[in-house]
Formats: sequence, structure tokens, C-alpha cells
Amino acid sequence: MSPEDEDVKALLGRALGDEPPLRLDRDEVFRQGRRKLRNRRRFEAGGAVAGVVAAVVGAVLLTNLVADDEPADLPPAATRTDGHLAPPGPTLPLTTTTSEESPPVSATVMSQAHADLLTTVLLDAKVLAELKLRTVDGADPAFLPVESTYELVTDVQSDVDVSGSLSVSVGIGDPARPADCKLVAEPYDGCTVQDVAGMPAVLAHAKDYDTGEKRTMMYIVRADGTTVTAIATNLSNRRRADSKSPTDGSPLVTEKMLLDLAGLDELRHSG
Amino acid sequence: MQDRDAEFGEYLESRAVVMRRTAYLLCGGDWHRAEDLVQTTLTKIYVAWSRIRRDGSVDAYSRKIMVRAAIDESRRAYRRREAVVGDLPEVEVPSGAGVEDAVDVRRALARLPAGQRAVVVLRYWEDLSVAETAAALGKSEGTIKSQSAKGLASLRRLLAEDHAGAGEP
Repeated sequence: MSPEDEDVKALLGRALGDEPPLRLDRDEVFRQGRRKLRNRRRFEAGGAVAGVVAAVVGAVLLTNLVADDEPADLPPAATRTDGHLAPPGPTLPLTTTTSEESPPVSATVMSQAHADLLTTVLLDAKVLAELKLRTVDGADPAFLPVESTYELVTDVQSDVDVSGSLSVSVGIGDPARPADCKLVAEPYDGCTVQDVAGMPAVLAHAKDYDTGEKRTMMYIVRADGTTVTAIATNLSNRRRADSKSPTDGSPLVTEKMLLDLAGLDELRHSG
Repeated sequence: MQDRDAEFGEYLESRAVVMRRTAYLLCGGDWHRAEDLVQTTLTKIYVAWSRIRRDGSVDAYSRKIMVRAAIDESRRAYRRREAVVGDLPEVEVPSGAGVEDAVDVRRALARLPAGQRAVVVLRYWEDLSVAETAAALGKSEGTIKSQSAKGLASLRRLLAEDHAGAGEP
């Protein structure tokens, strides 16, 4: 440190004057910290549907990516902190199963080739044409096989430098159990059912009042058993990693865009 | 959970006083706001504790959170309204030698834009390098150099004005 730097430091030190006793409430810090952890977990679990889902894909992803930050006495969640999501519908194991409870659809082997096909379908469709899509690392977004679903996570940005993120999960479920608001769990609310090419798709919203993050979730089960879950937020993963606040307003990916995604017939779990 | 709380508790005990000094300078000289800022920062540290401790980045994360919270707060409308009024926050200070000096420096610091104040505090109070300050604030090194120079110049000018004003009849 140069003598000039030391002078400035001494000058700033003079601003402190006589310090009053520290009145920080240690217990309150712990209380608020634990509450925020619970809220965050609850919010991140927002893609989950009561009962069926969390225990399968979500729990596996959570164990890998979240658990180390969370106290053990918190409830399980179904999504990952980086925006990956567990589909909110019934899930199937990776290979065909003989379980009587399994939906009457044939599960397929997951492949990177099919993931690449899904990426092409999503990017070639004009649904998100107005937005720039980049992963948190600055790469082009792409679907990846994750357990029994194909997942894509990307940051989105508009021309006016507003950002957000989008997660899309293509899974496989039971066509006999179409999307229904009864499947949408807290913290999502304001659920509505929309018609997409004759099939019900649910739209629901959540807000994290601590951070201001808003999420819109869309979920559909198609006739072939493909489930599409998409979650749009007003907080990009880049900003999340930098501990920055969400952008003002609703998520950049609008409800209409999410419903258009739901209607992308080529977005199928198997070819 | 118990290990986490114990480790975090030790960190809190060892760092709270130092953090409050930095917070006090960042928010322009208000001990109450400084304690609020420290509480907000510590709460966020608690949430991220496992990750940042593993990365060895607790202090860097703490600075980043605190400085951004201070800047965010200063940008809120109610803070702007208070700034227009120009009153210094009420602080209990004993009378005696050095008190006026402390008030002068605090007043000058409070008049700096929040971003410049943050740069000055991180560079000269926290002894961060230009690169470390840039990382903490999410700005380029060029911006940090420029804001640092402007901040220091403004600080000295404001202090000189205060002293000149005090010398007038």
C-alpha cells in the first residue's frame, strides 16, 4: 500500500468516530437465514406436483446439486438451483417397466442424438425468435438427456438488455392423466388451464417475495405421452450466479411463448 | 445442520464488527443502516454457507453481497428523497476532539454517488486491488480506476469545501 493509499485509509477511518456497541441480533440472523433457506427450497420445488414427482427425478437431481447447501431437516425439493427442473407430471423410469402402475406408454432409450433433434426443433421454431438465447457459460443452449427427461436450460435476453431464464423439460408421462391445476403444488398459484390444439395445458405463477423472482410454469401432457414442462423466470442464471437481483417485471418468455412451446408437436420424447 | 450453524456462528462472531465498519462507510455513515446491512449480508451468507466455505470465498462473497445491497438500497426512491433533503442521519456521538472531523468525513462520504463510494471503500478501506474491486462490483477494471479517481477527487473537494465553510465568519 502506497503512502497515499494509507492516507486515504486513515481518512476513511476518521469517519468511523466512536463506534457504538454492536447491537446485531445473532438469533435473528439464524432465524432469517433458516427461513430464507426454507423459502428458497419451497420456491425451487415449485415445478413439482404433489405426490408423484419429487421422489423420482427431482430427488436425484437435488441430491447432486442442492443438498450440500441445505440443512438436513428441510423438505425435499424437485428442482435444481441452476434452473433444471423436474417435470411436474408422472414420470417413467429410463427403460420399459413391468410395473402395473406404469402408464401405458413405451419408454425409450435416451440418446444424445434425440436431444440434438429436440434442440434443432426448439431453435428452428420461431417461438423464441425475438430473444437471444445463451447458457450461463455463454454457449448455445442445447437439450441434454438427464435421467428420463431431456432438459434445456438457457438464459434469455432482449434487445433492450432485459434478461431472464428458461428451462424446458421433455419427459414422458401418462396420457390418461392430462395436465390439471390439481397437479400444481405450492408455491405456484393462479393456475389456469389453456387449450393447446385440443389438449389442456396449465399455466401457473410463483413469486419469491424475498428476491422478487417471478416464475411462470407451463405443463402439458400430449396424446403420445410426451410431457413438456417449461419454466420462465425474470432472473437469468448469470445474474443468479453473480448474486444479483431479478430484472423488473414479468419473465421475458411470455405465457404465449410458453403455450406456443406446448404446441410444438415435434417436441417429442421419442422419435 | 449443527456443524453448519456452529461454523457460521464462529464466522459471525469473528467478523461482525469488522463488517459493520465497512457497511457504515458503504452506506454513508449510519450505524443503524450499517447493522441492517450486516444482518442482510449475514443472512445471505448463511444460506450459501456450504458452497462459499467449500470454495474458500466467504469474505469475497460477503463483500459482494454487502456492497450490492448498499448500492441497491441507495438507489431506492425513499433513499433518494432523503438525499435531496441532505440531512445527515442522527448518530449518537460524544463531544470532544475528533468528533467534528469524523462528521466532516462522513458528510463528504455520504455525498458521493453510491457506486463511487463503494469503489473508494473497497479499494482503500478493504485494501482490494483494482481487479478484486472490479470482480466484487461486476465492473471493468477501467471503470474502477476511473471511479476511484473521481471518488477520491470528490471526497477531497467536499472536505475542502467543508473546511472553507467552517472558516467563514
